[in-house]
Amino acid sequence: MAHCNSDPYTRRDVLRVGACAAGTLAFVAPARLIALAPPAADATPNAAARIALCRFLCGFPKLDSRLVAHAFAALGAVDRGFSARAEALGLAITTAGLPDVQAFRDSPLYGDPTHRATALALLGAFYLGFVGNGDAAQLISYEASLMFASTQDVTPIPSYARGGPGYWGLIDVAAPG
Amino acid sequence: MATQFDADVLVVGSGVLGSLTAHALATAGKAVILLEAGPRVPRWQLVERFRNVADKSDSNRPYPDQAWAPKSSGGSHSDGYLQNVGPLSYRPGMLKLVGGTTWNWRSACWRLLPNDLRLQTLYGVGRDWPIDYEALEPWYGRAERALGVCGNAADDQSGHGGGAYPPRSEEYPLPMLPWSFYTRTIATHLRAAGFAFCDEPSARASQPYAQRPACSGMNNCSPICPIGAQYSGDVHATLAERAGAELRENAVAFRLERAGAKIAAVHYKSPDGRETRLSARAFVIAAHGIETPKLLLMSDVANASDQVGRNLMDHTGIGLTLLAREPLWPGQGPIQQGAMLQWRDGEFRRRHAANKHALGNAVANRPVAARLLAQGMIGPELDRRIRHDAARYVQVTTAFEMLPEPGNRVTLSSHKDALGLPKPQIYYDVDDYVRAGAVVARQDQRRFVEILQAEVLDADTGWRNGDHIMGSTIMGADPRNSVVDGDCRTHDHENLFLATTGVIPAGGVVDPTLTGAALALRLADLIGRSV
Amino acid sequence: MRLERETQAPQRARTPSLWARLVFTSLAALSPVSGAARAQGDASPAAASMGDTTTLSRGRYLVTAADCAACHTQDPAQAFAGGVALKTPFGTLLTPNLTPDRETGIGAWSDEQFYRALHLGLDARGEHLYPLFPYDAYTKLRRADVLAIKAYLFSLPAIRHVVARPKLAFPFDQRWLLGLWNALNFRPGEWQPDSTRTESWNRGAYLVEALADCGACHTPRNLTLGAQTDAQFAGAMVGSWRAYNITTDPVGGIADWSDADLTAYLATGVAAHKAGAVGPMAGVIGQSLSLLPAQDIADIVSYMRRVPGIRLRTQGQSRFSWGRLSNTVLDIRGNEDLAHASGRTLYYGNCAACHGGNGGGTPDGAYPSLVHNTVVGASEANNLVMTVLVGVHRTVQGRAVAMPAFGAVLSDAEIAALANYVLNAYGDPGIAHVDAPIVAAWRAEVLPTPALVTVLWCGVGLFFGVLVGGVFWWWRRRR
Repeated sequence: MAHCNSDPYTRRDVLRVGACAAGTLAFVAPARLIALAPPAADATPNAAARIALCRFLCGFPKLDSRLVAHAFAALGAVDRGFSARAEALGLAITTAGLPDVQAFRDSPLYGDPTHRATALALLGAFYLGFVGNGDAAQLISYEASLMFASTQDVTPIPSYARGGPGYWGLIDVAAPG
Repeated sequence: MATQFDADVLVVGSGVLGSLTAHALATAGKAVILLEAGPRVPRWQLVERFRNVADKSDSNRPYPDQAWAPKSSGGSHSDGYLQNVGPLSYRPGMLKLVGGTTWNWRSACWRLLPNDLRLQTLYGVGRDWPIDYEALEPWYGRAERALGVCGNAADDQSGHGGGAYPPRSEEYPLPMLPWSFYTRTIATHLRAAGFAFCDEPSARASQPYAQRPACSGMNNCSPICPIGAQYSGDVHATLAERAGAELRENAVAFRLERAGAKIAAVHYKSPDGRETRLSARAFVIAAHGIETPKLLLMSDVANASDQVGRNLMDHTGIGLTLLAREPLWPGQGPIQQGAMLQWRDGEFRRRHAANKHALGNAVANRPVAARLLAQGMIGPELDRRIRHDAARYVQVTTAFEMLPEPGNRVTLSSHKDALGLPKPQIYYDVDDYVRAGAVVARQDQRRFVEILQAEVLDADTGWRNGDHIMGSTIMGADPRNSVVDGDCRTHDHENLFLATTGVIPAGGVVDPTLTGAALALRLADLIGRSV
Repeated sequence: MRLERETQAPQRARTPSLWARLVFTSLAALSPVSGAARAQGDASPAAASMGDTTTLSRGRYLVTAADCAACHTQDPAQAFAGGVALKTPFGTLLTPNLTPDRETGIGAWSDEQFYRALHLGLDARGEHLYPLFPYDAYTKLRRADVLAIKAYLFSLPAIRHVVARPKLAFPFDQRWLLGLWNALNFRPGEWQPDSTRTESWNRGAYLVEALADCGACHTPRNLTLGAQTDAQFAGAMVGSWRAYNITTDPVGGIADWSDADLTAYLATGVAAHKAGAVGPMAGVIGQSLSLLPAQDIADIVSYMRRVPGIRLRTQGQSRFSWGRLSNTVLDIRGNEDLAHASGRTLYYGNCAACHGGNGGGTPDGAYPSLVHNTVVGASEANNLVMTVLVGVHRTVQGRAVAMPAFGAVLSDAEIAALANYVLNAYGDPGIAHVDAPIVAAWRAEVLPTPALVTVLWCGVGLFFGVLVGGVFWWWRRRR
């Protein structure tokens, strides 16, 4: 039985996009978090292409489609041209017949500043789990952030247990790094 | 002639020091009212708020940000609250909710050394405490029991590699937490190179303690311990209520009303602006090191010395981030473990500031991934490098001893907050004492790099806030140049006490909360016997 | 016999009179003092006249096995001084002082008086003891063992502690009525070994029937709150807790637990990836079972493996077969209403840090999985809710295991929502209809009026009705 402490890579129905920030609290209910209305993006036929692009860039076929929707909503909110650039990037990758993200990294496409910036913006959203800075930042994910994926066998995702009380005192040798 | 009071003792501030005071007095049978500017928020909400916060770089951000009780940062109301007018931005951690700032801390609980209390006499700099270590020592023991401190009593915490020090009349209530592989390995290397590496005592339950579960290394001490293994002020706020204290939240004290030489009442505002007056026999202001002097200044009390707000100190510091050669795996256990103490005390304090190098142990995935993405790394190599770098990430924070300078001060800004009260204005700078100390510290940093065969990621952080507010309502024997006496009683008003680390006249290099807790228990005992 | 699942208000006539004994055990388990200290108390050097060391160590062992401290020790520093308040449906009883103090304890008792107390349920004056004191089990003790227990108790410090005699409401203060109870429910007699069984089985039987008295909690009660002898170990209520069916039924009971699991559970309180003792059982293990020799545990297992299998409750599958790992945090991340928190939000905020975002606990099992968990997967939600309310406090061989209590942090409605989320995700979704009123009732450990009380009042009413009616008839006849 897998014992991952958090296993967010599950398939679910698409839910509405939410934005969360402590800075959006109202006086009356300080703990209430306000959810944004679902972006128009959900209804477009491009949704499948976006999901495919993001899974390609992350090298993670099971990337949850909700995270893709969150990322595009957040990135599009800061920059109206983003979805067009992402679409262009997806098209360029398909046209070039690149099989995986290593090939993309080694290809001239990654040398193009626009394509590179677009790819890194998306990867930042999925790896770090947020877009933007400070109060205005938008959450994409926390537990599902890909930055944690490669170390889950050794260190915790902060605020979750990796082992019981004092578990780290029993570890004698460093795990391979 | 009987005078009716609303309470025997009125405590302003439900953080650790105010709540310890309120609990001690309520247990002693006094009628206590405890005021808290902010709301009451249960731990589980803070945990989820943390997980939901997008930009986690400011650890304050998960906490409620309300117009009538701003934090020091991390929200639209709070970011504009502290008005810094000096060369450095003094922005120490400060929260406004029941339980106070210790919801978000790293719980280091050191005692001062006997020499720390005699800085002027021994080294000719700074100020002496008006009391000595022996007077404080039994209260340190009680504070350690109240907070549930774990540590290694056999350590020489003066950094001289000798026997157990400072002297203690009781053991730590809890055994030290085990060291992670990371801490053990670094300690071994540093000790072999002659550094004095010691365990850092902390308010973490290393075993189940007083309804708190044991620490299991969720590595989230700051901003919020998910399970309460780490102490937070709400523990004693709750205990105070159970002992009969009345806790009023969302109550912002803004004026102490004087009657002759005594304080007669406190006035507080609710978020809607409504004002309430409460009278008491005695008053304890435990509103944190910035709000306490601000309240005194707004009320124009306790300031015949003109020292209220002055002598503001912190443990301003510098940081160092390295990539070690071998995998060490920070992130197992609590977010901070161990410290190097050879510059904690000695003759050198005549010439330059003492320092403490603290070893950070936080999970490093976020800064590591951000750095690699900024370099344009993508694909499987990104995942490999995240793992590789996260395993080798070493962080050392160096805190410097500060001297009290009257020009470093909290005053009242002309800018007003949402309740119409003046915002705190702060002027703050480090002096040559600290700068000279930094020269020595940087030599140490270069040695760490060599010893760990490391690559430097960041050695140029500039001056960083230490979150340790001291001096702003300074303690002294002479009423002409201090605000409170050795019992934390204001010189000017016999029934007004200050339970805040702002009373500390010389803070050494260690986190001041345990010292503040000892002083709070001591003053509560004094009040309990005399009111 | 198939009965409805007990998910509504606790049913009547199924509540044992020995609840409170184990309610107290759960309270005792909250003490941070290790089990060893609790069970043995402050043993002073034995008074030479009290007996030799073999008898004393046998007595000490028997006292540990019977867990006398659970009821008779309030403060570990004052072992067996009594005064523990045990709530029963009939009122509150205070346990007697068992130290050798002559005035306030049992110091003036003779061997015969002490034997009759355990063997016949009679106090020093010859009056019936309330069967809250499990003399129906201790009657099975051999006389030499009873006297060893007495010798051990008499070797301990005499503590002056006045314990008030119980004052129950009429008619339960009429001790002679207990003679009727005994006639219905009590068969005095020392345990007779069964020569057709193995030695291990016989030792196990003695441990289970005469000493540890597992049936006190695990055997359902009849109308008069005596043990239902035809349903032994089939499960019963202990305050708000449920003592589970521990017969050999493969679905309702524990036949599908391995010997290793059972042994580990009894000896340490944990069967890895399956069960952890909570509530009163945590105290039983910490203060008693974990201190017994390994052979005793093996004997208990040997005996329990051969009791008849009984299934009193509809149960489709065994308690540890429910649930699967599932992490639904994406449903709430960035989209959460903390002011009106769903069960899911409450789970992630309060529970997931230890029990995992997917319910699987930690790889080392220190924080147990909620999936395939015998408490989460039970056919009633009592123990799940009680565990959330009061936490887990288990000290075994000096090592403390703790889960915090959430009763002070969460409301009844929040706990109900949380329980339903856990039951839906990791337990039996068929019972995921816990509501705030039932949580409130469990929280208050409300003891419902047993049928016995109703019957007795009816009896009293009938008696007076007949008397009045008879007098009236006679008066009418005279006129």
